Amino acid sequence: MSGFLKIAIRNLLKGPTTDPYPFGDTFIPQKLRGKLKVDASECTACRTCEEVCPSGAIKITKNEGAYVHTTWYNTCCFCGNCEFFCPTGAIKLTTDFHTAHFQDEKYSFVTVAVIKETECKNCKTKFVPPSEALLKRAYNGIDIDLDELKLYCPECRKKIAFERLHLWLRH
Amino acid sequence: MSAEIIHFLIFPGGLFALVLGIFMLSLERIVVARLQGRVGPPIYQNFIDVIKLFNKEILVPKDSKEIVFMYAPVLGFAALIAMLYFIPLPGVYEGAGNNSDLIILIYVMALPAISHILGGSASSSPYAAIAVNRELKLMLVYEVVFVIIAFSIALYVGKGSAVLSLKDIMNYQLNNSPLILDWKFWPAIVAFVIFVLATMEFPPFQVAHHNDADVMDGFLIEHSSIPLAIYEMTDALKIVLLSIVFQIFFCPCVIGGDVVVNLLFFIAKTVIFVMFFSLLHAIFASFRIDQAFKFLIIVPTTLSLITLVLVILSIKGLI
Amino acid sequence: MSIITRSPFLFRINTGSCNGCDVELATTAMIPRYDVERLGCRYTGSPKHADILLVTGPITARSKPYLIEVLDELPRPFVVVAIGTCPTSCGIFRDSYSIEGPLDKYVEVDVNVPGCPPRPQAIIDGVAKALEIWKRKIRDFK
Repeated sequence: MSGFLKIAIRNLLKGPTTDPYPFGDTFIPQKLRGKLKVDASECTACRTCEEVCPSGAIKITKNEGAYVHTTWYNTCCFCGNCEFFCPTGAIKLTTDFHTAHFQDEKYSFVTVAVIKETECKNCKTKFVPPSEALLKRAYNGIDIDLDELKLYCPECRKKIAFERLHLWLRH
Repeated sequence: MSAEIIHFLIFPGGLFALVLGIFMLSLERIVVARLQGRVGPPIYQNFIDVIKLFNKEILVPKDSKEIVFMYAPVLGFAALIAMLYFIPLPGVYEGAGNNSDLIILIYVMALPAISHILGGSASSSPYAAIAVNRELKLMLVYEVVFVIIAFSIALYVGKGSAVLSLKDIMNYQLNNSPLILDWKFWPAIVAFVIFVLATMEFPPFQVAHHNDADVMDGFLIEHSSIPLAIYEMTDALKIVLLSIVFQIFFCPCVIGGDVVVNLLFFIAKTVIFVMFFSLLHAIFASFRIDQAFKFLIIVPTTLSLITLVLVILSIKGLI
Repeated sequence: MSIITRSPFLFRINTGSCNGCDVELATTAMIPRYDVERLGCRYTGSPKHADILLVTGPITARSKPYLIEVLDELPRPFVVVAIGTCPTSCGIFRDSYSIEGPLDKYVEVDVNVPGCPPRPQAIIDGVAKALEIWKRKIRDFK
């Protein structure tokens, strides 16, 4: 009882320690796992995030000329697996925790990222270009012109790479 | 005639006491919140609560005794409204009581608890049954404590023959010194504080009511809307009545003869009274029912009996 | 009439939750840091006093009858808030044999607060949104 009395008097003298949140700013920890942010230019639509998501929140659908990366927060458990496994680092969890919404927004409470396809320079087929980060990771320390390589579809790129190897072997 | 109706319905009974009591309940919540380091609700919070409860749907359980369930809350409320008409306010209101209103007071102090018991037991909920059982056990003891305190004061004021008029008790203290300064009554004051904690069911006696972890909402569990609002208003009237009773018993001090000044002084004393009990509310944890019963039967009963013995000794001239 | 929306009584029911949301809801929201009593809220022990029902947990087969009982006992007008991912869509438990589906199968949910668990600030947001709906419902109820 005397311990409680001491604490009570101290609280009274110090004043309330309440966060002024609904009316003011609040403290957000740096490592808070909030809503996703998908960088469409980094993403290659590899479906790793869809595979590792334990709650099936992420869906990647193929549309005309684009892949659509959809995250439905009403089933997301904010585990951060997508961020961890993303090979290109396109998915980042932000510190945005504002998840409350009305029922009529239930199915539209999503984050959408549209990953545009480009045309191959050589054969005109549509494909998702490999992102800068992925290429950097794959060709780490190898001196190739990456900007040139990005313009070809996987088939053509294979062909070009083989031709280059052939040339190199000839020399 | 019309003055009496005003005394009964508006001031100092009825509306005035109701509004004051509801604000006091809010104040109690705020002070507890501040002592816990929180901001707490606004000062008009309980007022809005009561208004809101009047706008809700009334639900009656299928197995309940409907008439008792619906009208039991009115019993306690009506009793307290009537008592606030009888009881004098120090320096403000003479009181409509006759020569034996202390007896009425002792009966009326039990009626809110009885209305809780009736309403709870009519609601056919097992939680309410447990809470009613506990309320009865507590009531058995704290009523005895109150009776002993009241009787010792009546004996002391009458110098051997009991004075059962609250006005006479008040006037005796106004003419002599208030009893709070008399060392013989200090055990009785402690016992009275414990009695208030037990009858308002503040911690540590929060065993039958607002005890979410144990019996949920106790005897109020099936009540909704207007009956619940009446219980809330009964609590508001009860805290005002207890404050008045404390002031009449122990410190009916007044400043001069002006009614308004005395009224403000009375409100200030009530605020201090409520703040003191908020402090106790904040620093105590709740007893179990067996601990509460044992504590009540040993400590406040002994303290009040000590005062009674001291009073008898002083009347006999031995101290 | 809008003044009475400042006094919401909260009742919470755990329908098989892992307790994560309950900790955020009942203890974190009442500690000095995130004091919900500022908004006039009070946790009640009985659904008959409640204005806002807060549901945590995916509705398990064992808890479903109790949930339906509580929904019957609420006095109108009331607001239902789904706290956490589980009552909103069953989340990671979605295909389990013992889960009886999301909350909106049984009652008209008004506000969803997804998160696993949601942050206390998000819960306070949810209660604030529920108050807007409650205001509308009172107007329609009268």
